[in-house]
Amino acid sequence: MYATAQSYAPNTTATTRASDFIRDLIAAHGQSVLTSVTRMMQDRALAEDVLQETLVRAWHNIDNLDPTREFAMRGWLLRVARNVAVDKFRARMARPAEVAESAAKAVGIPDPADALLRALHVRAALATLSEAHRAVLRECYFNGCTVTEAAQILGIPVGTVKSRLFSALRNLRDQLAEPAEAA
Amino acid sequence: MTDDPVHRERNLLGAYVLGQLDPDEADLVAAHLAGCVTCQQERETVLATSELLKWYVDKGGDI
Repeated sequence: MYATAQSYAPNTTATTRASDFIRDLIAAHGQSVLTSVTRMMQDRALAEDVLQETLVRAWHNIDNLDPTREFAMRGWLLRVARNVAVDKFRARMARPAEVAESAAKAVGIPDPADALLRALHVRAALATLSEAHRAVLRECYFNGCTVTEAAQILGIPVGTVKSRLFSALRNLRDQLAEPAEAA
Repeated sequence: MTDDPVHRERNLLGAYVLGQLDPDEADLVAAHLAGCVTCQQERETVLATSELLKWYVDKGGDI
């Protein structure tokens, strides 16, 4: 495995060899890694960041990797991509705060004690909601709007914001209580 | 929203747990909750979901 990487484009300069290596990896595995990470993170832009960083790590390990062994290569990339994705989530969720463990338990989500899994679970559940429901939650929770402000921003009556808040939270709860999708 | 009085109050539970109802609406919901076990349970569930979502956003999660 160590010797074979040397034979990868042996007659080119190191720079060309590296860029060929990365280009070939993207061509052979880019889409598959991106699809897998996007499914895990529910966020295409974030998944692209993860792919980018995964390729940088591959480049650092160019002498230890053999892209002609496609199956092993893809396994390596997916494993690294998953670690990068988890690191990104941890970084996002690192702010110290009281855990909402009892709420998670009450809602019935699996692994209520694991903050990272809980956050991933909430994220995946939000992604299944209709855009109309997500928009109301985004204004009232993420942007911290009052229902009156949310109504103005979304161009709908205040009464609709109030009733959608309820149906959005109830749908979210139903999704959260589903068993986690295998990532 | 529906004219069914039970459902009218229930539909307000999301805004209720966020403290976003007008005072008279909040009084109506509170009065209804006092006598309706089903809606009390619904309130607990909605509140827990709301708290979880607040935690998620607080931790930097986006919607």
